[in-house]
Amino acid sequence: MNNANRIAKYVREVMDLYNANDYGFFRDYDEETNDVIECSLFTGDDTIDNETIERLSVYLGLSKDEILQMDMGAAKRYYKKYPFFRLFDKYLSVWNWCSEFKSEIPTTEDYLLHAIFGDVAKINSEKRYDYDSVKKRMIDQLKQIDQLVPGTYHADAKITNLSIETEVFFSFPECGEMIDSFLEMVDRLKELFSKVLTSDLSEDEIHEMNFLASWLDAKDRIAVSYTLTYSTVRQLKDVYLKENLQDFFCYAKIKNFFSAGPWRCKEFFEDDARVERFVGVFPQTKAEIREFALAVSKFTCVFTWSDAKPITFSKEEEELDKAMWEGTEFYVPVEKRAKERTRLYVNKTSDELFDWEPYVNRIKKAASPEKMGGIKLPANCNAISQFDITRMSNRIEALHGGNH
Amino acid sequence: MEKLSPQQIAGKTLRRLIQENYPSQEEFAYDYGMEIRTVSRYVNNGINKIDAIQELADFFNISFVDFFKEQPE
Repeated sequence: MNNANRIAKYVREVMDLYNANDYGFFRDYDEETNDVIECSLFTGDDTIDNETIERLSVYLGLSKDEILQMDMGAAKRYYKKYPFFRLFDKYLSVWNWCSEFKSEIPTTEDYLLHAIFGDVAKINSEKRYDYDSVKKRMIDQLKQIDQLVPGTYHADAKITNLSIETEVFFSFPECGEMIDSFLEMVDRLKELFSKVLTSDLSEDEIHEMNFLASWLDAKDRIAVSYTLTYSTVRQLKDVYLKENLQDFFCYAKIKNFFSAGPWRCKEFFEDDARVERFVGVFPQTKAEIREFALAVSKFTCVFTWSDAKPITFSKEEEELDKAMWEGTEFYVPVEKRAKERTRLYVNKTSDELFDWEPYVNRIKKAASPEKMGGIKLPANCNAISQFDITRMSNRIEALHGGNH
Repeated sequence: MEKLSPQQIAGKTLRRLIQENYPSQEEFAYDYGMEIRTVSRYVNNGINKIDAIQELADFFNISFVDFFKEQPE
């Protein structure tokens, strides 16, 4: 194995350690096929190039020497500092398990059986609900709603393609510690960001800021393709100071990598302040929490009436669609469209909620309007205004010096 | 006065609930995670999706039936 290959192996290990996105290093965009393809770290004849080492240095928060020397001790410093990384691995494993098997928490025995028999084991995937009963309640509900909204129940039609889904809570006792550590990383990035605006950073601080900005995928809120690494913040320093905004998140946006939402953990809602801080970083998660509260406390039934009409849009949308696409292969006339699907939520009984009622109540309260005790969202920094256009021009000027 | 459809009554109920709980429809849209034009359409033209009314009733902690009760102006 040559040195370039050894370094590539080291970098791969470091990225795996942090569950880091390897796009731009080991994967790239193929312009010919529009696919993301695997690629080697170093281009050409696998020789170490300075440009890649510099990009890696920023991305991994390591010095170029540390990378060239394949220093694993140095690479682990953020792993040791922030328990998040250790816990997130465990969390993902439990989350994946629960998504697959819909059980609250896997036991050692479950893991062993799964390791031996794989998916064939179908551990804990026993039928948890009486779906015939859910369907019956759904039909009763449709008939009741029909009294309020005539046309809801199609007496002469059949229910076809019925799917009944629900969500489950799971238990991850270290959830609080994991979220706290994540928020600590966000706070540290905020701290380093502020420091760059008023003074300068030490070498170690620069590396840490680069690591955190890269790992958290912290972008400038306006110039969204720019990651808030040390050098970018230095370039934009005067713009930020002139804007003089109080909230870090009016400058920055952090990517929500929590696609595996922690609100599925029973333990997430143990501390209201923690939930509020988390939602403060990712305001859109309040809506996701609301959707989860609905999904976990009810059955989501989706079906098609046998006499359903084809899907149509608003009058304006239909006109626009016709104007743009009629006569082309992209225009689908109404009669050829798929039929409308009906969605209905059916309440769970207390038996079907198991012991989750206190958690459901807690999560529903958190997701409700602030006036009713729900989480207060931070100011909405997304609104586009003339001010944002000015902010964008100032950034382009600072980043490109007018050469754009 | 023209009789309102159940969907229109639901839209009016939503407008009232937003007024009672939020300073503006934009604030509600941001908090609830809904496009402002959808909020506007619901409030002005009515809500024709049963599941959307169920979701809103759940959010405002009122019963589904209450969404169809006309309130005096």
